[in-house]
Amino acid sequence: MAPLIRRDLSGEKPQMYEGPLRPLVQKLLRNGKSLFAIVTLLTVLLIALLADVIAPYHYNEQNLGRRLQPPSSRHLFGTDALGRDVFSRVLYGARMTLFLGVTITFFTSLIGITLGLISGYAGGIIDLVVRKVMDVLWAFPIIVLALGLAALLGPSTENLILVLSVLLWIPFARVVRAKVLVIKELPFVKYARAIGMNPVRLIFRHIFPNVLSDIIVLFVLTIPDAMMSSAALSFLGLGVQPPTPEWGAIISDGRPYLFTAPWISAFPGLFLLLVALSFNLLGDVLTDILNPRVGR
Amino acid sequence: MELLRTQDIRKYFPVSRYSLFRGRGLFVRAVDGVSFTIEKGRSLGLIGESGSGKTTTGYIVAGLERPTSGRVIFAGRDITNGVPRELRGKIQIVFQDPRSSFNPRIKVLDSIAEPLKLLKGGELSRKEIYDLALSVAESTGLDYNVVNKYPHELSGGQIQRAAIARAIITNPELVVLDEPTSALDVSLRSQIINLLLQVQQERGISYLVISHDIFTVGYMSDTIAVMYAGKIAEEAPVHTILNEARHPYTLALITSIPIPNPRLRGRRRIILSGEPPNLIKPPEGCRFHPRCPFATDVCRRDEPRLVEVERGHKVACHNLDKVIKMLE
Amino acid sequence: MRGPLLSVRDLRVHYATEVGIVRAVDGVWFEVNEGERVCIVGESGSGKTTVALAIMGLLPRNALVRGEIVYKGRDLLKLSKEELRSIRGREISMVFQDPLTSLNPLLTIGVQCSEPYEEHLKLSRKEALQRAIDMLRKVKIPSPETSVRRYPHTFSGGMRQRTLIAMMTSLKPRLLIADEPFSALDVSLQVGLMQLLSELVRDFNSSLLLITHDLGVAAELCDRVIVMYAGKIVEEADIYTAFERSLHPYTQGLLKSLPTLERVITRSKLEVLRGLPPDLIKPPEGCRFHPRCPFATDVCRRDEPRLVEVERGHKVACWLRMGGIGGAT
Repeated sequence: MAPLIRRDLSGEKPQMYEGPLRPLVQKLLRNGKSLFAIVTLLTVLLIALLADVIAPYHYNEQNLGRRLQPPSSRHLFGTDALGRDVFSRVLYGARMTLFLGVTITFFTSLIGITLGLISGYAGGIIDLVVRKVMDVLWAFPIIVLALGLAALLGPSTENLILVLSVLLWIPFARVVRAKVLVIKELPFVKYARAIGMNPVRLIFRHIFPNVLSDIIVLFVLTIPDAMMSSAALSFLGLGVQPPTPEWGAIISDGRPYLFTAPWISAFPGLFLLLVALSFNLLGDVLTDILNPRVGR
Repeated sequence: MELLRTQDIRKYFPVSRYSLFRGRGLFVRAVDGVSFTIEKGRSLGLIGESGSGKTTTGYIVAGLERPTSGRVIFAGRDITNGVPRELRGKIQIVFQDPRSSFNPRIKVLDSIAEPLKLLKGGELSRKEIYDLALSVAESTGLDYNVVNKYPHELSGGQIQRAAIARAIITNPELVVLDEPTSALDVSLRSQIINLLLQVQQERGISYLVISHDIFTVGYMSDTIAVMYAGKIAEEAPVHTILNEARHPYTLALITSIPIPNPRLRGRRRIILSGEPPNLIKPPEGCRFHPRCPFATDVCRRDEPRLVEVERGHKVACHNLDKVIKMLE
Repeated sequence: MRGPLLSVRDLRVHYATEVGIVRAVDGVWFEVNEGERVCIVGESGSGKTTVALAIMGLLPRNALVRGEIVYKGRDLLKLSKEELRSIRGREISMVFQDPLTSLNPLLTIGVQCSEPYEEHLKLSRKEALQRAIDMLRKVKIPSPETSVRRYPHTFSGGMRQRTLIAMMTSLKPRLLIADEPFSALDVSLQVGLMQLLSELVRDFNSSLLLITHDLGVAAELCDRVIVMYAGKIVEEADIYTAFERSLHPYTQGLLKSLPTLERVITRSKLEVLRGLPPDLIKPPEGCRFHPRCPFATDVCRRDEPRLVEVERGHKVACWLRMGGIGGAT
């Protein structure tokens, strides 16, 4: 055997995750689908961040003399009903749409993960209650509920985030709960309980890290959902308010002119599609990579 | 000196209401009245097949399951509903499946240190705890480079050693070994068995060895208890069980185990008919009677009690005289 | 028919995987004669299951195979899919380890047991079912006439294994391969099944190729033993020689490490085979067992020993034991 190497271990911190990030990133870059997705998303992110610099016009710069113009060298994506440059609006719109997608998913995952962990681990009455709530909520189409709530609270960006966060958590809770039920029967969890670990610490140290890979995948797959839902609500006028550009809102603006000036809806629609597709592809590839983990 | 005593422990698992059984109040009687003692420094082996209840019994002793009824007494204290602070870490367990006994997201060394952290987190510094963890790991034959990895990077034998390290780091007096070698390759088993015996020698630990392999258990224990359908059928010192067993089930087990000696092929065996028992509705009377070649009416009616037939040798059977006759 | 029933010559099976080429079987030669019961003994990584799969033509797609597997004069590795299919199930049959996953949970026992008859003998459903019932009775499944209408999950593990054996021997194959057929079962059920297998093989005058890691099972059932390690054969002998006069340090080490009745009673020390199972992607140079061998010398670390016949029927691949000296148990 190799000679023993003693090291000062006081600086070592117990790692929470499965090895360093590097092999994961390498695998993602090697796969064609995820590579496309990552490139697309990074591009869109860049656009969103640099909108001020890249956009040739301000998003609300109106020019009534140049309404509804088709794409040209001056206006790459044409102009809308108020003479605003659609290209610039799409670029600025990226900010809002991405922001909404990520923020909503973030809050909703918080709710769902917490409920899933508690429900799965505690079992009994708590689990029963949470399950029933999920079943009832799940039975309604999200859009209908969202519409109702948004109408009640009044249309605004903040309310949009609130409403969707409160409605999209169910998949997180379901997935986390299912995984927790399985994990808590595993020997190493029973062992931790037997040696007297308190439940909160146990959940964080032993259960949560093992649910993480499922959560990551679901997170990535929920972002396009949140984006589409916000786009839908904004489309219906109950989300982001004008003149703030958001892809869904822009699509909505273009609705009366769908046949006469299709470029107003088409371009933001295309971008929305690309971004949603990219997130989905990324989620797909992540599932494959993260799931058959302990294989020998 | 008595270290551990179980008094008539039972564990019933409720059968789901939505199962085929359509009734409420149905239970799987995994453990149904088990009592035994383990002396300090001595080891007890629990032998049985699937459905015998041996693993559940081990889990109850180790505190992973609470018995439905009955008591567990350790070092004179009742630990049935939890281990008091002073006794934490005195009973430990090594699991059968090395893979699922460690958190896959945590490095092995951290897992080994964990019980000690929980126990002495206040008294010892982080460095002291980790140094101890490493030295215990080394004593089981693992070095730093091995334990500084994640469980899936280790081989089965290495993980089992780590499991042993984790089990002894809190200086336990009793360690429950649940099928410690079954998941390992044959060539590695003797390594682990020898390690366990060495550890026992050095630290004066008692073992509760659970297995279906009578020879592994026999090699590591002083006394053996044979379980069937949640009850103890026979209990005796190892020599006695192997040479002078009285219960038909024990005899069947001993004679039917494949022995690596071709000359013993034609030996006399007791072959059991039937299937392993149904634990939801166990047979009436003696639970073994449907498979027993000696079963009589009394067996189908009354459950035999565990009776001491000679010093240290207990059997639960109505027809002992018949069995003895047959053996002659 | 004179000559061996099955002759495996220089069989090599390498798996192409993400982490490298796994040399699961690396030059294996052996024969099985008519009516003979041969056992391949080895642990995980020895390659024994791969050999069985190669004979049956059931290797996964990433397997690279070389060598010859000659059955009744024909090389199985060179046959077309249809030709292989007509042999598989009919002349060469395989019983797997896990009866639960080997049976289709959605089909009744009757349908599954009738399949071989319908497929190979072209019998009608009714006739095939009748034969299946007879076969089930032969393997001692209670009330076969009604059992055929049941589904596999309603059977216990032991009964499922019997059913599997019934299915696989229904056409009286010339060669029956059994891969760890008893590992998933309780000991009390193993005996019955071992006896059943033994009877069937004898009644049908089939040959048996048993794959196992359990030396006890090997001792109970077989006439000849082939010991495999790291993809190679290290020793081959008849059953008594293998257990009483083995030569290869691996075989000897294995036998001495088992807790037997005598060793339990006398509490004598168990011999330890030190080290770990071999890495099949980069196997050790020279003799693959040398890192774990207490007698390894320079020659062992450099050159690979060949399988040499030391006395009639007893072959060993070891530099130190080729002379036939050093046998003990």
